[in-house]
Amino acid sequence: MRILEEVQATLQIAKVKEEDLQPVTYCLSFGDNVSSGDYCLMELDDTLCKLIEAGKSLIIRGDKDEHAVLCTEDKTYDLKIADTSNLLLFVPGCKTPDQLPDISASPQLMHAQIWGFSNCYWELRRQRPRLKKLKKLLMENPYDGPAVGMQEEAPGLKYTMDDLLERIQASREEIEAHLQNVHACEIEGFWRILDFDYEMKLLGHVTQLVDSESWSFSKVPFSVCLEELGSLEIMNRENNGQVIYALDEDKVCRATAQLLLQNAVKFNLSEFQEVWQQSVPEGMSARLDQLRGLALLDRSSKPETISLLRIEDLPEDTLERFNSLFSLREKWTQDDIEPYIQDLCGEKQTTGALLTKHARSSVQNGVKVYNSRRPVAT
Amino acid sequence: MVQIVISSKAGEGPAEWLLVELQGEIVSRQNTGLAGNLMGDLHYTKESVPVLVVGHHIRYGKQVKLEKPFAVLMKHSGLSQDEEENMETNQENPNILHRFRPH
Repeated sequence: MRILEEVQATLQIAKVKEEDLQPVTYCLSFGDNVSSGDYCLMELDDTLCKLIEAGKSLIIRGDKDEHAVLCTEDKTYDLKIADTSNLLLFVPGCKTPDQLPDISASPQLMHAQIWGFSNCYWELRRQRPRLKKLKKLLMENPYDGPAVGMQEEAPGLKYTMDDLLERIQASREEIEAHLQNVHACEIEGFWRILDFDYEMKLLGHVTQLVDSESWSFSKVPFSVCLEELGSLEIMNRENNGQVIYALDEDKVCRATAQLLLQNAVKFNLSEFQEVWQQSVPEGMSARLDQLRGLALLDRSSKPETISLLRIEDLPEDTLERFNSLFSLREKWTQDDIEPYIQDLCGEKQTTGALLTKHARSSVQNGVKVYNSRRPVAT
Repeated sequence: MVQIVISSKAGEGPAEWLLVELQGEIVSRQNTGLAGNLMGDLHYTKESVPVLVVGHHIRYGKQVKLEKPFAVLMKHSGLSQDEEENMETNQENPNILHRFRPH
């Protein structure tokens, strides 16, 4: 083990004046673990740092053919290796001058071990999780009602939350939020997406009931609903007591619009609006702004038309999404395209910034429009 | 899918380490491996400038606060599930980096 006198001798040979130095010197040597390779260096951000300090766990997820991601309870990060041209040594228990005793103390030699070293580290970048796979998995086996009579429900793939966590590269909270977005329900511990026709049938029952009882849409007693709709056991039975639900006007109108639009390529806009209003429960008003991300209006054609365009049917990748949108329509106003690119925005990005990056703008008839930067196959 | 859990020791929170950045490579003289070998002496001048003496080389460095904190992840064989590996973290905080360049 190296001793102080040897250190001082080295300083003399190196022509470094001992009086210019502080009294404490660290003798660094390589620890046993150094060459094992069983460790790596990862860059964190403040949020992750605080999580780790609080003792929380992080999870790295990925299939062999996927890029790995890191997940916290509610966020997802991309993992990338960054090479440095330098060597990074990690030394535990080595103090910095501000942590060391007085300058006037007598010379002292401390020993510190280099625990490991690396010339690269993992970089983390916050990303929006790839959730399209979630709906795809749930659509393998949509739920269309409880089994009739004595039959078991037909066999098919069903997923619990843990199953989903094993297949989707996203955090638990992001998955839960998306399950809500796609109107999935937990039925007997499995997450199921409702077959659309079944969903509409249920909606019809509920609205009819509301109508016949003359309830207001904003005060629908849950338990009475459950009793009346006894055979339609999709509601979460744990919710007893006086739970009041409000029928969401926007969601009902939206679902009704989808029902109407999905059977034709295009609709005459004014005819559609008439039929639509008549189809929604009495007392609800159907408005075009409820259809953002669901339908596309064409105000340049005569007569004006409307067609189904659901954001979930579009590609998940940013470039592919823009390509897809521009091949459907050459020029878009910001207002029209916004609902279809909103989810592509990064953490602090606006749709405007996204458009600047991926599209070219021009002015047509006094209105700013965007078109593709590259040639697009139509 | 593989899931790797990264956890840190419950209780005190991870220890804080020093990160030393050096240009170039370090190889042991007879290629016998680095473990157990001396690396060099780390001094601080009275102005708190770090000085590293490695063999016959002297390097003057700079103490730099890391822009972002780093964590050292250590592989830890899982207990039950075969697909899981646990890694423990030790943190490079208060974000001190000693950067050494040839003088």
